[in-house]
Amino acid sequence: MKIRGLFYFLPIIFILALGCTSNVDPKILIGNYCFNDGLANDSLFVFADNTYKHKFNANNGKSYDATGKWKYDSGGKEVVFERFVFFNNEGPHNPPGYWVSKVRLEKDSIVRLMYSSENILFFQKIK
Amino acid sequence: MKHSLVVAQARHEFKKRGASEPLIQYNSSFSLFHAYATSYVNMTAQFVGGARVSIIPMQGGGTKYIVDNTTDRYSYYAHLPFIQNYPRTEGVITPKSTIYQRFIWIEK
Repeated sequence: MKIRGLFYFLPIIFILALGCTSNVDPKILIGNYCFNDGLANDSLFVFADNTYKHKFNANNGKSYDATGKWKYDSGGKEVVFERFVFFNNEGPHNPPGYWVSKVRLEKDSIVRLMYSSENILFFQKIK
Repeated sequence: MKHSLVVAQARHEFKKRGASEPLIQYNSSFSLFHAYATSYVNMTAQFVGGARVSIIPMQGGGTKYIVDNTTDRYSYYAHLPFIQNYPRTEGVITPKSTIYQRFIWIEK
């Protein structure tokens, strides 16, 4: 009976373990990203020296940007951006602060930095 | 919302980062399990579901909490992949159309 129970339990353990082994190499995070629509009015540049630049082109012709440091947290599979600012067409949306983004790897090696998993909004690596 | 799971997640992250710098648009998760667990316990939190939470220390004391949430058909139907959202149109009654909510409060 105990062995039979183990046969039911092992597949669950195996499936969970599969999820745990899909690590992210931080090097793949380096590059240029666009927010969902890909129109490049909201761009994120992640550099190899652990700095980033976030640039937003408003529809009135103004341009806003913010810079800071980033680091990858392998435990949570997330990137922590320091002093991050979100922008809209009126300018900065928030004071600089920590923005924590889950990394999602899609098929064909597409890298996404999630903004809202509920609304499927993200920065997607384009280069 | 003060006592919701999504705010608790963000609060934990805020404290983990030292509680001195703002935490911006933290993407708190909310699963079907959370929805079931909050049934009749916190119906506001269940209605809101997943949200993005910002926690901002204020000069002079206090902490501002901002919860941003989109309420739409995709959320209502528990994120079924084929569900389309209906945008709101002024002057037209559109049931279950998308609305954007923001909850703000200050904790001393």
